[in-house]
Amino acid sequence: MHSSRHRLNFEEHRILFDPIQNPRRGISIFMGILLAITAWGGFCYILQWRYGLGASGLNQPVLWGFYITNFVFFIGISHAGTLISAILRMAKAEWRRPITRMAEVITVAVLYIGAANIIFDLGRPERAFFLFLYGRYQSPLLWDASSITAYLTASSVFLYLPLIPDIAILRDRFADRKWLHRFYQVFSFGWDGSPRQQKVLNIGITIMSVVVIPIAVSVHTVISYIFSMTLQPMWHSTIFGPYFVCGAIFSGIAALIVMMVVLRKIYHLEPYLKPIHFNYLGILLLVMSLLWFYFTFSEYLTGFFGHEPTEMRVFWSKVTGTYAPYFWTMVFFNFVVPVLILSFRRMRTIGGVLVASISVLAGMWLERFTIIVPTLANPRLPFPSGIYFPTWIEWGLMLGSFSFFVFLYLLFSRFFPIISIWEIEEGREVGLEEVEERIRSYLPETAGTFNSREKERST
Amino acid sequence: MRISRRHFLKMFMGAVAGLSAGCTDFEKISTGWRSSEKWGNPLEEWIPSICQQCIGGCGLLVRVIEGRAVKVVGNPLHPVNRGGICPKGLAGIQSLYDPDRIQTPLKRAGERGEGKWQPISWEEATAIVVERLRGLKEKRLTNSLVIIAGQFQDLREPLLHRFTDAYGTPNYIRNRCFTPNEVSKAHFLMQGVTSPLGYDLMNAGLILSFGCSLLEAWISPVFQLRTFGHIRQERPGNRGRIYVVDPRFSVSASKADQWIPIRPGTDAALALGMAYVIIQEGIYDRKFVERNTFGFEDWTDGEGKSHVGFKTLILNEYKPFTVSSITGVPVEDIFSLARAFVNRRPAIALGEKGLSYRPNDIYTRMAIHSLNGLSGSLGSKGCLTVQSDVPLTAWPGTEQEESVRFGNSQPRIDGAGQGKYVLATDAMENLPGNILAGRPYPVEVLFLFHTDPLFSHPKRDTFIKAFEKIPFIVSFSPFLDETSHHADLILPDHTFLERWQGSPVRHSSGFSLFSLGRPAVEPVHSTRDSADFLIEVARRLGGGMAKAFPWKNSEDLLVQTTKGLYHSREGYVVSLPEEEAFRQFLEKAGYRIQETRSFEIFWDSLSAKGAWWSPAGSSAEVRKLIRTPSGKFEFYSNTLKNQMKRAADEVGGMERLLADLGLRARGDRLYLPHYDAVEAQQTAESIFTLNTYRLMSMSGVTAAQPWLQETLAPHVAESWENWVEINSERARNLGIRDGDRVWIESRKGKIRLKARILPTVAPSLVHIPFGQGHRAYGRWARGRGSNPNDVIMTLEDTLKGFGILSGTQVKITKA
Amino acid sequence: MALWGMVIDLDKCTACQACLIACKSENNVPFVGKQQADRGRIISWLEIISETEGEYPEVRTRFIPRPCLHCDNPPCVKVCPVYATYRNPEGIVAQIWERCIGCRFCMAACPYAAKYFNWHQYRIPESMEKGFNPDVYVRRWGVVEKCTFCSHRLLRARDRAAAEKREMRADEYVPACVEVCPSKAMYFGDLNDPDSVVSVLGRSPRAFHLLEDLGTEPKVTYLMEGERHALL
Ligand SMILES: Nc1nc2c(c(=O)[nH]1)N[C@H]1C(S)=C(S)[C@@H](COP(=O)(O)OP(=O)(O)OC[C@H]3O[C@@H](n4cnc5c(=O)[nH]c(N)nc54)[C@H](O)[C@@H]3O)O[C@H]1N2
Ligand SMILES: Nc1nc2c(c(=O)[nH]1)N[C@H]1C(S)=C(S)[C@@H](COP(=O)(O)OP(=O)(O)OC[C@H]3O[C@@H](n4cnc5c(=O)[nH]c(N)nc54)[C@H](O)[C@@H]3O)O[C@H]1N2
Ligand code: SF4
Ligand code: SF4
Ligand code: SF4
Ligand code: SF4
Ligand code: SF4
Ligand SMILES: [Mo]
Repeated sequence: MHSSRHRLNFEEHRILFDPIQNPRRGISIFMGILLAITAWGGFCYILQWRYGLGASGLNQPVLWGFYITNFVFFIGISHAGTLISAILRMAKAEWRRPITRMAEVITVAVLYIGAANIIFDLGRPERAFFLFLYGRYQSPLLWDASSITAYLTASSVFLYLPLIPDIAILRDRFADRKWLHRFYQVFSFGWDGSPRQQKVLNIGITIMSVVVIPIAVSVHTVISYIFSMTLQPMWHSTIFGPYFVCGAIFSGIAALIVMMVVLRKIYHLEPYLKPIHFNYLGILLLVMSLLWFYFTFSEYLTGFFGHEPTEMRVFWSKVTGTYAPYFWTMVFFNFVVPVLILSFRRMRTIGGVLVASISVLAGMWLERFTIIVPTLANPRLPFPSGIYFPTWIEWGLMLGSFSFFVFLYLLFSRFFPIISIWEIEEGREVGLEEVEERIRSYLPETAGTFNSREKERST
Repeated sequence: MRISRRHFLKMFMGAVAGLSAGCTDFEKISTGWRSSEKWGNPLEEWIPSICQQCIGGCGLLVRVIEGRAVKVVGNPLHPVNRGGICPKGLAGIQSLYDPDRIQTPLKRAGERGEGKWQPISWEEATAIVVERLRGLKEKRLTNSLVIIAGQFQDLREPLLHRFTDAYGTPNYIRNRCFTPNEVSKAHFLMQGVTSPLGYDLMNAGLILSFGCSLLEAWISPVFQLRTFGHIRQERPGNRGRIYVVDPRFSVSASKADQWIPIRPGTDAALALGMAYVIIQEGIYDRKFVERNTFGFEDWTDGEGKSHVGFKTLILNEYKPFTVSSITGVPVEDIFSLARAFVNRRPAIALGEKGLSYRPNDIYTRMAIHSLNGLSGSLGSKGCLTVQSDVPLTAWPGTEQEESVRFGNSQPRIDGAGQGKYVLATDAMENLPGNILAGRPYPVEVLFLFHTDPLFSHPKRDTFIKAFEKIPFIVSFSPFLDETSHHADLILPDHTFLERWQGSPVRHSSGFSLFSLGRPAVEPVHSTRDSADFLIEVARRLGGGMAKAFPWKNSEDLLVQTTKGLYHSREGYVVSLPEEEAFRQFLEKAGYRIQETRSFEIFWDSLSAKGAWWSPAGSSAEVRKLIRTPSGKFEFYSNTLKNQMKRAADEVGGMERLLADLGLRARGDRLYLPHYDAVEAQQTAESIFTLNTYRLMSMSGVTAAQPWLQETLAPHVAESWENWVEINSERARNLGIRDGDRVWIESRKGKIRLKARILPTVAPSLVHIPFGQGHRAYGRWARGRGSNPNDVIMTLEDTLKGFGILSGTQVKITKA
Repeated sequence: MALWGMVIDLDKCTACQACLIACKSENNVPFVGKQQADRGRIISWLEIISETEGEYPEVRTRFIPRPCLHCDNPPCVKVCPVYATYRNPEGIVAQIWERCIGCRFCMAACPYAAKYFNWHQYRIPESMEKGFNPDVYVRRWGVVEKCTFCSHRLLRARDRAAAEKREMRADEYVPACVEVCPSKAMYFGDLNDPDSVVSVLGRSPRAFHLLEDLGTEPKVTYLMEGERHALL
């Protein structure tokens, strides 16, 4: 196989270089705003640091709230990326090519924020490193710590590897720009696209894809364990692992779609991201929505059927009580909306899919919330059950988290092509043939098609 | 002169050595003490003291480390509480270290009540007071000195009284309802006893309480709690029963074996209804009634005039159906109650509730007490007893010069003991009115001692006006409470952990007891023990006054006074149960070990262990219990008859007196327990009858203690403010939800409170816990909720003279 | 090796709350003030749980004093990521304040809501700090705290016995709440000694545990209200 570099036609991909070459002021301003909001979040945290966690609306017995919700939510999103792109890669789904990188970036960006939210929730953040000093492996929290770090490293590598050839491209492209050139030079690892390198890279990527999938699955499984390993009503459930993973992928895809639509708009990626991509992702989303509903349904039905009193107190507080509004909005956003929209080919337009995804994001956030808070608010023993109102500090930190995520994302797109150029190229060159080959290989042989390349392979 | 635990141990090693009766594991009494022994280290001392957070008179041990009081626990040796202590007691430390205590004597700088103060020296303060008093003395106006004293219990009570005596004023007035060290009127009128009431609760089979909050308040909270635990699961024999008659589902009621909700003020009817059943079924103690009672059957007097007996009266007028319709208690309950009261003997009916149930309360109390007569609950184990008095050295007589006698012979300013107040020892409800009217004479000087009428008495506004009329007001409070704000001079007292205390404690259980408390810590501020101050003033006033106060200071006072205990050759300083068991065993065998060789040793041991007692006191045979002229338990009270005659003469005629009293009854009925109807309550959507009650965690002095503020009650999780309890159903109709703010409005005024909607509340009533809603009293107490006294309208209370606090009609609206 | 346990006789308990205040006084538990109290942040290692059934006049209220139950199989301990809470050999579930990172996982895991969090650095007027118990550490912001069975008293009793060169007697170790209970409703002792009060009472037919079915094996046993039993 030959390196894509020689025949690469910059002009053809110029839109991909635009954000890097001549960034638009609008976007820079927007990033500025995001940064400001993030700073505001930072300020809120400083306040909380000063006054203690009491600055939040948390109390006895509702001792977890926004922070943990956001933690679970963001880590969930992170499944978008890596998991999806890995699966699609394994599955050799050719339509993945323009999507994978966007997905992978989400993962890495969002993981940091998820982790940060755990820190927000600590009474003694400065003691966080005790986890490594005195770590106690019996505690699910430590399982989280490990699997998240693992996931973070793995998906960083997984993001980086496919990035190398593109960095190389940029390195050559910006030969005239001193610093940028230097920067790319370092990260391109002296990539020259020789067949050997190409080969090693592909192997690397394949290995990572294999590694990443189980890690990703483990991450959200152990996060669900934080809850299911306790004895608390409506937490202590065996399906929490898969339930959370499913929810994670669900919200992940939604996040991916939203990001795609946004970038497509601001970077004019229409040629790369075609309706068909959204259509496929839409179908994926639909599948996950149904799966999510299936899990939710069986979870609540089992609870209800068992009719264990303490369980029921929580159940009713969700279904008819204090938390009913959140609960039913969640069901509406996570199930009704996406299913209504996505079941029909005609509505699986980019717009439609976008709406569905946004609704799912909101829904999934609510889902995390309604899993965490109502249980805490209804302790087993007859204590005055708590009411929880987040303070503006918590809101501040939540906004901060979200805007920092978007900021990181845009930041990335300022320095690296948000769509993997070489993979597109590869798609062009080998992908087409491969697919043709593959399809042919599915079919019965016809005489005369026995040509040289075939021979090579068989021997 | 302090004694460290070690030292202390040595002191009764000897005795402990000779222990015979080993203590079973269940006998937990001493563990506290033991542990505290073990706890001791050279740095640490355990100083005995007496709790003054309420009138319970519990003995304390204060753990003192390097001069700091770090913990208060019950004194395990103390006969009242045996190591137990209630939340208030534990919070004593917080009153000691309250940042808002008054730190020096204060002289008013601005207008009255303006809150401007100028710190002055004790010397100057003393001079001011002495000069004032001398002035009055010269003008032969000694009687225009008035002392209002509140609810406390120790030797300062007789000391204050003596101060008024020796100075020459009859106006020692108690702002209270309830005097554990005075005889209960009903018992006095029917039994003729002149010593405070006593009940052998520990051995009772059934305790039937008519509104006496056994587990929240009443005479001696911790003693009652101890009793509760004891009769239920500790004492041998069968488990005792506690029945509670109370319109409110109190904690006592919820812990009781049975709760009998009743329409407020109708207790007399219920008691007499029970009497009906008991008499009707002939299950009363015939032997006792025939031998030892008077006025049961119909009778004819000397002039051959015939009189209705209790029996006839009851059988005619208190048929269960009638009673049921009056009290709201189901007929079958009246029957079961009556039978239980007899079958579960020894049974005790408690009617000596702090505040009056209703106007002319004496009849209610007699009605309840008559049950004790019927079931013959006198003169045997588990029944009534009397408080035998404590053999203290008598104080030197106050031989009086003519001017003093003149002063004392003046009528009391509150009119207690005269006319319709013939039965009342104090009449707070009259005080402000009379002061305003200068009736019978103007007040020149007012001492406020351990009392805060502007908070605790409903007649706040009148009091404020009345105070304007008084030229000179002195407060002895360590805290700037509402009333002290209106004083001219504040002479901050030590808190109880800083001062010498002695208390011939009255605790309802008979045996005679004297508690001694040593100062646990050095005074935190430049305050002064009010006892010392009074002694000082007396000395300076000289003459008979000085003679009446011959002591150097309060410590000396205690030393002199306790000599009597030492020489009485009865009772002994409290000690470990084993030791006491051993001693009692010897006494049964007819030996008495003279425990100490000299008074000094006795004093050391007393001031180390904190109490002297004579368990023998608790036994009481009928002879001791019935002291009436007739020598009988009088259903028909001759004493009452005589008293009313006297009063009638004072006011000019019986009819006049009865009119004043608003009594409907006539003839014999006037001297028999009876019930006369309460004015019908109006009923409307939003009208309720207001009832206030006490919390275990609150008393007149505890509002300034954060621990208590934060855990006010077990039945509602409330903190830092009071609330109003409303029936769920009615709240729903008024659209009031749990936790809403509501207005409680009477013809007198309105207050705003948090509403607690409870299924336990009777539909027609609302309950507000008493003790919150201070307008002053420091940062912890000020502005916590509102004071129910702002809406309470008192009816005349000729028995207690305090005012009827329950029964105010209030309108409740969502705020 | 002793196994410390407590028995609370609900038939004797009067819901007076003395145990609760004794605990605050003994263990320097801060009061949090009105504002924080209203936000549900009162710290009280021992709480009187109350439950009311029925409608006037047929009502019934139960009061249950609840310290930490020192579960023998404590859900709170398992989940702590840094060993800041652990079950010591004598069965006391202890807390290491300086180790706690304040994640509150243990609080979420305790079925009895027996753990409390220092939402702020609670300060009291320093005149009042004079009343602090020098034997007990004062917790700072951001950590979880709970009933320790007054373990500092165990240490002191043991030191003392050691100093006197003898074995510590079980009854030398009495928690502050047990010490003051006015109606003597609380018992404390060694569950490994079959003849100790707590063991004997533990065998009473009136005995039960809170949320027994969770298998947390609490070492605080309750005796339900009702008739006396042969045992006593
Ligand atoms: N914890 C605590 N203990 C105290 C005090 C304190 O402040 N706090 N104060 C001491 C003092 S000064 C006093 S006077 C005593 C008071 O001792 P108590 O009189 O026993 O206590 P209260 O709470 O005033 O009233 C007791 C009950 O009477 C009920 N009640 C109201 N009206 C009626 C009625 O018509 N019939 C019946 N049967 N019940 C009725 C109330 O609902 C309340 O539950 O307590 C003393 N002990
Ligand atoms: N609504 C309603 N009102 C009531 C009652 C009710 O049940 N409901 N109860 C009534 C009854 S029964 C009573 S007895 C009265 C009691 O009413 P009060 O006599 O006013 O109450 P006390 O607790 O005796 O007094 C409290 C005052 O004593 C002062 N004090 C505290 N410690 C000390 C000290 O060490 N030395 C000195 N010299 N002073 C000190 C403080 O200033 C405090 O304000 O309240 C009555 N008021
Ligand atoms: S009952 Fe009264 S005297 Fe006894 S400890 Fe409690 S407050 Fe003090
Ligand atoms: S101290 Fe004793 S009686 Fe009072 S609440 Fe606690 S356990 Fe019950
Ligand atoms: S009660 Fe709660 S805190 Fe105490 S040991 Fe059991 S689980 Fe842990
Ligand atoms: S809050 Fe502290 S004790 Fe509890 S689990 Fe976290 S670190 Fe452990
Ligand atoms: S055992 Fe000690 S720490 Fe636990 S509740 Fe009782 S007093 Fe508090
Ligand atoms: Mo009183």
